[in-house]
Amino acid sequence: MKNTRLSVALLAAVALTATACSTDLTGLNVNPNSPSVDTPPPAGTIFTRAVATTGGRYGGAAYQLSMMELLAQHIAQVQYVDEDRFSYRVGNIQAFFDQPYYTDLMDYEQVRLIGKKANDGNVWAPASIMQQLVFQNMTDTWGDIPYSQTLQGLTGPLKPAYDQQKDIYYGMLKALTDASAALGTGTSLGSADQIFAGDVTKWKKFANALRARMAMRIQKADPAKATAELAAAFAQPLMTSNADNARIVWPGDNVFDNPWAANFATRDDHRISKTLMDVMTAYNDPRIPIYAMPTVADPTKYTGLQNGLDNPTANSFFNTTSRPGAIFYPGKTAYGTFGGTGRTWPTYLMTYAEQCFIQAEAANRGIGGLTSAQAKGFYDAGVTASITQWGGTAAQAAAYLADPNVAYAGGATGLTQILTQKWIALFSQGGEAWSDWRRTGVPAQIAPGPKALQTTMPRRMQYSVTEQSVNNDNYLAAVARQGADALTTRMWWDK
Amino acid sequence: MHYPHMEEFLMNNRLARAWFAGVVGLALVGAASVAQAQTATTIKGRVVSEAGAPLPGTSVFIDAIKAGAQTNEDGQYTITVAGRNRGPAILTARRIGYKRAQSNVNLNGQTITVDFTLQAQAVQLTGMMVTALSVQREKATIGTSQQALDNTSLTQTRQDNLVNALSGKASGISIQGSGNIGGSSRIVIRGAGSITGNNQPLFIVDGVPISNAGFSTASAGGGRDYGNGISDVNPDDIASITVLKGPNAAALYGSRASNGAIVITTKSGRSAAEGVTVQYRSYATIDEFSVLPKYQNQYGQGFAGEFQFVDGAGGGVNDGADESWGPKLDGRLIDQFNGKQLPWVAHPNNVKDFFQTGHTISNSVNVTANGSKSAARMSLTKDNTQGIVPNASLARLAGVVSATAALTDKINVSGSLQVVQNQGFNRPINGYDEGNPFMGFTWFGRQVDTKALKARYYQDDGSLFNWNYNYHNNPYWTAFDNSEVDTRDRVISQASVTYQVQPWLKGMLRGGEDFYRFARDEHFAKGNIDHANASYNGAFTNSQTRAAEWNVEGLLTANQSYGKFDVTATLGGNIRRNNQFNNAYSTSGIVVEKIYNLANAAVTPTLSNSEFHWGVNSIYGSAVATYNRYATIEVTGRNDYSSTLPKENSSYFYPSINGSLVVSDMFPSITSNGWVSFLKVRGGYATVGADASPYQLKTTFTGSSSKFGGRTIFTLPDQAANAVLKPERTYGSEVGLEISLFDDRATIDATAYTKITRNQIFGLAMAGEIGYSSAVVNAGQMSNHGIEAQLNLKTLELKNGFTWRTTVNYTRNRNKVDELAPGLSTIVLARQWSTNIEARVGQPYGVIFGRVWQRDSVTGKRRTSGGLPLASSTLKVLGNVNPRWTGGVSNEFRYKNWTLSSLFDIRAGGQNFSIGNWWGDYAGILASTLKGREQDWNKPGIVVDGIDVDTGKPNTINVTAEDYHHNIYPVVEDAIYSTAFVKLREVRLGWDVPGTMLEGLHIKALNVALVGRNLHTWTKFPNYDPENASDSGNGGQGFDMGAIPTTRSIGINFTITP
Repeated sequence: MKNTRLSVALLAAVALTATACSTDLTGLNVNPNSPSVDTPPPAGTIFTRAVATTGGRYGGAAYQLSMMELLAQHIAQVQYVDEDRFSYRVGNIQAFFDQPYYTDLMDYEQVRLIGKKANDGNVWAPASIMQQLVFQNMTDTWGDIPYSQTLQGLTGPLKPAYDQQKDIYYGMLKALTDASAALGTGTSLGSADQIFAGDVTKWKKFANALRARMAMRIQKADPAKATAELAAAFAQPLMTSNADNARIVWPGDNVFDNPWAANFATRDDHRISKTLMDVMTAYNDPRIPIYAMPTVADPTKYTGLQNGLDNPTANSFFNTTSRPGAIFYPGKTAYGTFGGTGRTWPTYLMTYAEQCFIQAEAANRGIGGLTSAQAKGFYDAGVTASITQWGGTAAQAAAYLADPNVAYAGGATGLTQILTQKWIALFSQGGEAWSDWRRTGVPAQIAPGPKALQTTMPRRMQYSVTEQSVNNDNYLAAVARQGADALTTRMWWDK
Repeated sequence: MHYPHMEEFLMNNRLARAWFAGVVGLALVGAASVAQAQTATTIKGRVVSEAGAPLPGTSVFIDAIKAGAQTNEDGQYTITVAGRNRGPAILTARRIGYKRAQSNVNLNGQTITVDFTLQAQAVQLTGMMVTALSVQREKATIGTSQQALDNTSLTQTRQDNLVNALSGKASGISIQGSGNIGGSSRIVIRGAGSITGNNQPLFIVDGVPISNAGFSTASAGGGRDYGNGISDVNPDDIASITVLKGPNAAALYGSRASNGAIVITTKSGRSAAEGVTVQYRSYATIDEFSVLPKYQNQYGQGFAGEFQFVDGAGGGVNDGADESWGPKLDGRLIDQFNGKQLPWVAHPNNVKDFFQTGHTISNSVNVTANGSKSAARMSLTKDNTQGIVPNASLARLAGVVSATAALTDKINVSGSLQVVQNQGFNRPINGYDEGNPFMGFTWFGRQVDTKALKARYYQDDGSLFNWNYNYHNNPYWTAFDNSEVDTRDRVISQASVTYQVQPWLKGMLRGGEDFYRFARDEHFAKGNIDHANASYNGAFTNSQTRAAEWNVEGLLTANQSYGKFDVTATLGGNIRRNNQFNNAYSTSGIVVEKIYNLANAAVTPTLSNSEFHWGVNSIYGSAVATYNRYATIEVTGRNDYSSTLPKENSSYFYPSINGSLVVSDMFPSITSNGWVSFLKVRGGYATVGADASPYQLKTTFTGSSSKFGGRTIFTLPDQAANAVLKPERTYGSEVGLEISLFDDRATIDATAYTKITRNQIFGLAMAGEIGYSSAVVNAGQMSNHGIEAQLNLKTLELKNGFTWRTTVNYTRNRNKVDELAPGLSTIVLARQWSTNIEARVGQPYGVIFGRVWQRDSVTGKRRTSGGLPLASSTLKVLGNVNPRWTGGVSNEFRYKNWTLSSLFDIRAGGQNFSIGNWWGDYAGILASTLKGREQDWNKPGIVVDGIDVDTGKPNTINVTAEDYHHNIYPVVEDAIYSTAFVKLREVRLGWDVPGTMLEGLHIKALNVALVGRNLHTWTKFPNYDPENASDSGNGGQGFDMGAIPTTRSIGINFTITP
């Protein structure tokens, strides 16, 4: 009996010690809440989230309404006018420079890797196309940025170098060419793709149209490359109607709403820019009642607000200038009800109209294998597509094109007409409009407002201050190469 | 003072580990080999307390020949003295908390019986104390800094949180209390070691670790304080507490004890007299706020001396204003929120009247049954607390059953079950949120009649009734119509069996589980400014957590003497597993008012669920060798196998060594002049490893209950996991001195220590271009150096029985952030209004970093423009949250049946950013804003002592007090205040009713005591309680957002033994 007890006690102690010695508990450390990078969720679930992020950013209030649409002078600030005077919030710049890398770009990278592993171009090519779209927005804003060494997590360079803008453009054009070629038939992403519902033909058209956009952007800096790339892109399938537009339709469920509508639900800081309104008024543009609402003071009037005023002056125009159109409003807001179903209004990434204007410009310039004789056709198609895209009718478009000021005149005037109509069509896509203005100077009316902090329009944004603490050597190298980290420094394609 | 090379050698060297195992093994084998000692004189007996209860674990020994034994559960002991020892000897009995007793015996080769009755005494420098692994050891042989506290010092004035009861009573610790009912308290031993992780010690109850999880959601920006886990342990059930200070003393407990450990021993049936004993205790206090801001009562709501109420939202004259720069309160007639043309007069007590007198009622019954073979104890305690904020309350029911039985004379089993239920109701919100009454009263009109707000919450049309409709809610409506309910159920159970295999060898197997379930619901009624979307009819949140930790431990202890050497070797193994499950749902809008149900959600609810599992297996051992009872050396080693580290780093070993020498025993001559009666020196070095949180090794996607138009969405998180993490390391070294002077009239126990924590695991900011904005890494080093000391004085002892004893505790800790990561100079721990609490390299942990005034380079005075100081664009270190030193002074006077005791709690140095004072000045609410406006409004009254930027000459421009105070923002330089204080923390007057007065009442004993807590505070900190922080986390320490102050309590306590 005694021996039994002794052995039981000792056995228990020894057994416990032996168990406690077992060295591998790491099986416990598998996160049961979320799939890991080793066994990722379906590519489509990541793609949906990433596209929502991209759309939320580039269609978003902080990016468009506090920066790009002000620089394009589509929109002006009626209160809290700092950005309209070129004073930008550090936090916003950080959000646009730092965040894309570790949010949507990194998610697209996961989709790309999954697609590459499965050798499914219909999965990886859309992800790659979206990455190029994001990188294009970024390099057009800052010039040199980290590109080739990025998105490798802890396994790649921890302080990625800044690539020169020329190399980035060459890289993006190559990536779009590869993506376009890799797209086959079928619908691998299916309904998870909230842009084209997995329609790879439309992705191919988008890739080619985007390639044409980028080729045209470098037309001044690198004419040979531009014309070659334009020709190659034009030889591929292109968008043929508004049904091919790359845009995100928002669910409008209070969680994923059109970002302008989400902003206008509680904020009332914006009015249509006088620069845009004056041009549209002069042309009697049918898009005026769509882009803008009548003023509160006089419901028969559409009036723009001058950009770059000081706060009290801007404020004094609060009720005498036009808010953006009712289509951007969620119905009820904190300061009134303006109709509209803005929560579900789409955010446009690239439209058929924009592509037509690129083709028209190429034809006008006689590059990319097009001739000036083709310009009018593209111009008319672009204007018509834009008006119908915004809810106007083909008849309105025809009447508009019949206006002597609008009807295509050819030559240098024609080029200005093309770029002016493109600028109007790019409403809500201020980044593209600002880039075209920097490259071409059209429309010439764009100029700093009276209380702007500098006398010239910004040519780029300053880098994120975060970079100076986490990637300072590469930041300094980029500044040394590109020029002062200032709003006035011109980037490669702008020189 | 640390030797990483030796430690790393041991860490990385299998040989070293084998050597260590060998030392422990040899000790065990050696002990066995000499077990066959000669038999001669046998001394046996029983040791009991004055009440007659057996005293297990009493050390009974003959010092001269180093023979001795410990008493068993029944207080029995048997000593066998070798035959070669003959003649007279002195037999000594020692036990924790009791005076040493001695008896003369004659070693004659026969069996002698000697019984002892020990008198209770607080342990000072000698006596048995509970130490790591709940092992009892003679304090004189311990080489590390440990401090024991008995039940009396914890329950004299009853606290709802055990941690608060330690305040001022132990050295080396720093405690940050809370004024919230059931609120959390932060305890840090020897300073913060971890940059972003946990800095609080491990709590052990009867050998089983229990959770001190923080349930608080409070921060400087809002949230509620639901307390922390340790408050579930009922102070009434505690027999003693040992504070193991820092890694040295706690090395055997492993990872989680690198911040020290608090070892709690609960009362058992053995602690009472034989037979059945019933005790009943009743305690009641009334509670009031200890500090209330000094408000001004000369000017009412408004701006620039003007106010006229129309709609309270800006429609009248400054009637949307929530500041007190309005008309002079001279009785003129002005339209107000509660009526037209009412006299404009001060309501000096409008804030004071809002608060109520709270109360705490605690009743407990305690039954013990103590027999020769078995004993049991049961206690039941019910606490009800009514807070000082209207409609806030907390109820707690705690029950404990424990039993122990000797199955044979070699096998003993014991077990206990504690069940605690907490129910909180309407705990006030903290921080900068409408739910915090002090935030609301910071933005306030001094003329507001709060009685009118109390009388009605709604207008006739059903809309809310308030003094202001722009920014605020009626504070009574917030308290009564926005309910919060939380429940926390806790079950702590444990069972153990010990088997005395041989007289020299004991085996123990122990298992325990700590389980809790916590749920909270918050309902926000329609119109709640901070928490309900104005487009909907209210909102609600719910979250639930359940968590369990279980441990199974096996321990073999061998004890043997070799000549003048006593050797004890311990070998143990432990298996620990943790599981946690969380669920939550919330919506920002509902359809039908007051129906807080998901079915009524107007906005798609946010849902989440998650679970976490982790565990550690450990083996550990120690060997203690004592020479001639005065020289002791102890080595310990522990190897952990953690689930949370990569396989190749998941096993990590860490050793410690310490020694002590009782110099006065080694050289008895130094005691001959009577000045020094006891002198001990000690020292040690330890390292402790620590693992990571679960799931840090592999990056996982983040999902969401929100779908994109019905589509599931996943994204990679911003932070990269790291597959190559190493364990964190804490290195501690200490030297100590224990000295008893003047016939034990004065004793000093002092320690100097260093604690360094390296390879810390935290999220480090990365270049976002890699695809992550941060990554989990090993980096950083933080060090603490300090002194902790305790002085005990028998200040006065008179022949008539009057005694006066004094205890002084002193702690001085210096903390420094040595490094963070290459290229990284600061980590922001918390931020409010562009003011940070930071860990900055080269600075103490927790500096306040904020905006300052522009200064004239010659005179150092503020630069002014138009009479107003100019804000600088730069931020500077403005203070540091760490106290320079802390201390406690307690005095106890006893005379016959009367006891009077008091405790002063002292904190010197340390600052915080007082947001309550900052906005209070801005809003013209505080009495401090009267300066400069004691005249009429057309005679502005402040000329800033500064240099005018335009003239370069001293400023001469008058500005109004309103303009002056509105110019404060965004500079916080003037809102940094010293948090130094002296508090009269406890006073107690106790009376043991004489037995003669109890005759015929069927009462054996009755004690009546008057108690008081937080009776007075001496501080320069203006308007608020210097002790309050916005939360008990690492970053909450530097912000005061007008938290609910600690309460001043006065009450009465009855203890009845029928």
